[in-house]
Amino acid sequence: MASDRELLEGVAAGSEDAFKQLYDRFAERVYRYAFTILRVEHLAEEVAQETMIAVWKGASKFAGRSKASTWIFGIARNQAYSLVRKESRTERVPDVSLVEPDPAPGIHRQERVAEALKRLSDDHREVVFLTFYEGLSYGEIASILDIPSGTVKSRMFHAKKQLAEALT
Amino acid sequence: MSRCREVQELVPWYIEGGLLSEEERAVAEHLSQCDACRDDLVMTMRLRFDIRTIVDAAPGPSSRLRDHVSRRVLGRKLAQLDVGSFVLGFSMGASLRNRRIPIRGDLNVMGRRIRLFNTERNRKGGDG
Repeated sequence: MASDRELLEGVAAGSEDAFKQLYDRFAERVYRYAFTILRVEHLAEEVAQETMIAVWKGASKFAGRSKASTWIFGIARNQAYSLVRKESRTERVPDVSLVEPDPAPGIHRQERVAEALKRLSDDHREVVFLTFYEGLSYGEIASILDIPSGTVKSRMFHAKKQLAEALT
Repeated sequence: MSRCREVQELVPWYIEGGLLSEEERAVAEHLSQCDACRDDLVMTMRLRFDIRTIVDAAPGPSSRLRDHVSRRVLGRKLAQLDVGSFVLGFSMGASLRNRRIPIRGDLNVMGRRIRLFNTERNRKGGDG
């Protein structure tokens, strides 16, 4: 099975098959990452779409200094925050926290974790997703978010604390 | 910063196996001696499980995503001709892509596609 890096090289050479395989590996993961940041399905889908198109157009720019996944999630993050800026100017990003009801007491543990996850700041939620769902190292996350490794660790520490408090 | 805080900051990546070997050794050594950090490890493992379950349970993207990306990247399919069966067949397709109409012909043998010709030469490098 071709590695992510080999597929990117194939995409850079114009291989549609390589792109299809890369799409199957990453499109849904990029969508879930974008949804973690944006929490609006159609916007997450827009980010996933633009990210995969950017991968197709820009694969030759991948210098190989990082993992392919780090590079792709970095593109997704830029797309997501550029969409946030665009949408906030037109005030179309709904504040989900305003329309969702408070969790009832005694609800299932995972529902409480899900609610607590929504209440985390975007910065904290993003680190939690990239660590626990994508399994990226703190160095890789620092590279995607363009922040020092210490900040990644500190965000994770505080996020974990807030999530644990929600369960007590 | 206390040793416990340092260790608890690294615990998520200790679980993921994403630490440098010397960091991993130091965390393991501390965990063997500290009840509070062992509790933090267990709590973190449970949170990790919860979060993975929550994210997996959320719906993925709609089927429109593949269509939209496919249309913009691979071009609009103009025609597709398939002759033969799963065992042995021939297919020829033409699509509109960046104002060009590449035509491709494939031989299909037991479901495996073998490209016979493609009038569009491979792109060199990216577009953007």
